[in-house]
Amino acid sequence: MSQFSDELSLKELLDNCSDPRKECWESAWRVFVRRYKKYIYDVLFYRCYKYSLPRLKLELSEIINDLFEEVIILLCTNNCQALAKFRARENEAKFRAWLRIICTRKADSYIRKHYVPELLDKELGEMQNFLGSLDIEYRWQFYEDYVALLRRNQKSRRQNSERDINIFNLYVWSDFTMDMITTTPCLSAIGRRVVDVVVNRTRKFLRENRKYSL
Amino acid sequence: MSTSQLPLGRALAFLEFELAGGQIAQTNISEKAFEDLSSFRKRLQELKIPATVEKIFSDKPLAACQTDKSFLQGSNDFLLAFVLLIKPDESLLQKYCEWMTSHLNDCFWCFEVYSEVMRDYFAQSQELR
Repeated sequence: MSQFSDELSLKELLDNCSDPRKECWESAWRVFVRRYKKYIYDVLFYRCYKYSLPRLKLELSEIINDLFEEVIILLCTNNCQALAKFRARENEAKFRAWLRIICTRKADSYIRKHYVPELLDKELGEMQNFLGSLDIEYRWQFYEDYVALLRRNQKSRRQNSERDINIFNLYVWSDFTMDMITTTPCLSAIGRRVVDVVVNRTRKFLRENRKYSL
Repeated sequence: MSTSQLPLGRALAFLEFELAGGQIAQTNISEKAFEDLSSFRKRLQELKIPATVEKIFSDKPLAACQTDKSFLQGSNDFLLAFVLLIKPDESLLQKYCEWMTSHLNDCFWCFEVYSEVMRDYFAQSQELR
């Protein structure tokens, strides 16, 4: 079968794309891009679009182009190591699923780096909208990162550090009002003013440490 | 969180109301929810044995839970005991809150469950006032 043909099987295509020493490597990649470009673009688009970030939506087209390049670069890096490691070469559905995961992670990482830090300057509502728009797995990851960051700051500073992190999480992540927070069993002895101080102090800290925050 | 018609958070509010001397009439909630409340009430009575409460709290996890097996997801008993038996006792509350707060910060999955329960608990408590 011609190695320049678009009719290569998945296995043939990936075998040729995974080995830069092959003469037909560049041609194979041209076939790869023709075959999967739309799919990659669609995955990246839908992943980025679901984030509730106004500036992102205005710049979406440019972002998707950047992300597409990053995905291809990732697949080619280190003598196409990522692609070489993919085993199920007879299975188109599995390959697309694997590609989807790569694209999704790339999109999440990009948005986290370029768009989320500015949320710290916005009204809390915007940050809450954003957090609410995340799918559960990304919320989880984000949550752990934020708690780790807050703990790094709190470690040697004051008592009630875990309590303060909990207050902030209930307020921002779960969208609890102050009354709701002070109704929870462990926080029923504190007043609304304490909640207010803790939330504002924590936001200030996150703004000052935004470059470490994500 | 709960397979019954009555979410745990609402049940906590009703039971707390009863413990404070209030009465829940069957007209206040649906028949199925009223039955569920009876089950929760019965379970609370069973939990009042100190050894039972000790056992529940000794089983608490030391770190973040696994994704599909969060401690609070699998245990109505813990929150029943925590809100209705531990909370009124200040020294016990202080003892367990330290763990609880840290665990909710460690474990996103338990935090989500806890938030859902407390949201319902608050809403129902407000209604009962």
